[in-house]
Amino acid sequence: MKAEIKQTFEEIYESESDAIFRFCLVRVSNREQALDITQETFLRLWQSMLQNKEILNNRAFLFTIAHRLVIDWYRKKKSFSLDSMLNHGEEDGYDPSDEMTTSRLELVAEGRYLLDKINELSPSNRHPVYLRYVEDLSPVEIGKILGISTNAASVRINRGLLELRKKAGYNDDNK
Amino acid sequence: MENKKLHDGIAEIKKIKMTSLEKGRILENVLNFSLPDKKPVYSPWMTYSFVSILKQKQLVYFIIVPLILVLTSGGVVFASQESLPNSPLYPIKVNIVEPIEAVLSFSPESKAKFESNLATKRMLEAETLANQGNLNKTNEKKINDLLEKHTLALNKAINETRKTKSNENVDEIITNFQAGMNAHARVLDYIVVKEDKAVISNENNQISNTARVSAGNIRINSKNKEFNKGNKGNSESDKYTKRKDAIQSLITKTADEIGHTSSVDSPVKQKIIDDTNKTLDEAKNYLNEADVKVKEGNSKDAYSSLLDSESSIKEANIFLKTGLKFKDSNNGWKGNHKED
Repeated sequence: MKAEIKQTFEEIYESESDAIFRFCLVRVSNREQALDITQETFLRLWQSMLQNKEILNNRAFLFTIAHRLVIDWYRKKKSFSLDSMLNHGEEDGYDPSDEMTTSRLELVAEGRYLLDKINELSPSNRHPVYLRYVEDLSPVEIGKILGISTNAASVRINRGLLELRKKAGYNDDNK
Repeated sequence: MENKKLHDGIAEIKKIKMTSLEKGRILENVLNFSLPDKKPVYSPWMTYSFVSILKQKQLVYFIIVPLILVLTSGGVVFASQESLPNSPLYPIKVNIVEPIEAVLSFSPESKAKFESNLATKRMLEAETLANQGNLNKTNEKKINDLLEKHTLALNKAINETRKTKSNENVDEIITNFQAGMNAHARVLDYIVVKEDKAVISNENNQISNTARVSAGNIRINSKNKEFNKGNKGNSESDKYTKRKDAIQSLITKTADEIGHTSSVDSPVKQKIIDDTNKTLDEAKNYLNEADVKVKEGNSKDAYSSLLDSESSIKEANIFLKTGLKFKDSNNGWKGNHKED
């Protein structure tokens, strides 16, 4: 029984671990921290599977946990760093501004530029756009992860895309 | 989303991945995790918690549960004390509580007194029910059966008492019972008759009949034994004189009470006082008879008359008090004798 669970878990881990790690990294801007949150996310999944809890959508489940863990991490970070809070305002979002992180991300110009523009989006549109176009999640899954309705997720995705094109200047490019 | 730059940017972002070393390390860490045994974390204040001490020592089973049982049953017993035959608690009172109390009456004399008191209690219950208009045939039968049971038990206890105690003690119990039964039977008869009639119905109810019969039987059963024993300590004349003085005192006291009774404001009250006076006269007559018999040298009959006198005066006393109490507390009896 446990062997079956283990096999299933390994399959899920193989297919989703990079996406979860990426999601965490672009939000916390710290590789070690992103690894910790990724590990914690999969640990939660593993515990749930061992307890035979029913999980309808593994992807949505993992992103939901990761999303909440990131929020928790920011809250803890803010609680002990007043300066950091004053400098960054609310959640940092997709800000790979840390030099170490930036270097490790090893993004070329296009990726770096797009990530910056996504980060400049309004907070309500930022996450739906990232999850939809980078992680290929459906509006249903995005709605579950962010705790909003599917309809609201779709609206935010569309508005976010328009905003992104405008900010990035992609409207002028050839199709 | 056909923008090439956008596609390229997304493709670049998607290249962000863990190294195989990091991936393997996380997987290993996760798989090595096993669910901890879910043992509760005890509060450091548990040492001072009464409930936790009870749980730890399992005292809850040995102290709390019996305590709850005792308190609950105690409450039921207490509540049943004042119950009437139409109450659900009445069977607990007559089938459990009273038999236990009877068992705790060790000497035959105390048992006889206890049974006599129970019989009086039954009569009071009947009076209360009749006064409330709830004395139906079912309740009447219940009380009647219990009354017969108490009379039998009393008779047995009296016979036992005679073996160990002097006749004076037994006579006291008998006259009290006889007086109580007759008085309450009369009160009950009054209650079941409507006030406006102010007369006793010819059809006395079953309970009052049983009470009178019980009183008569006890008296008859003991009459033959009254003077055969009991002369061990006191002389015959001393015993007679002592009892006669007590009766005289009771007669005077009852006559005073009648004299002090407040204004007669209803025919029923007047009837009660008249009947009490009649009984008082009977008591005096029995007393005179006793004196005559003493002069004739028939001490056994004289003592018997003396007991009749004592019983009559006690009956008058009880009848007056109980009758007026029911009359005053309800400003007139309801007098509804229900039929099933």
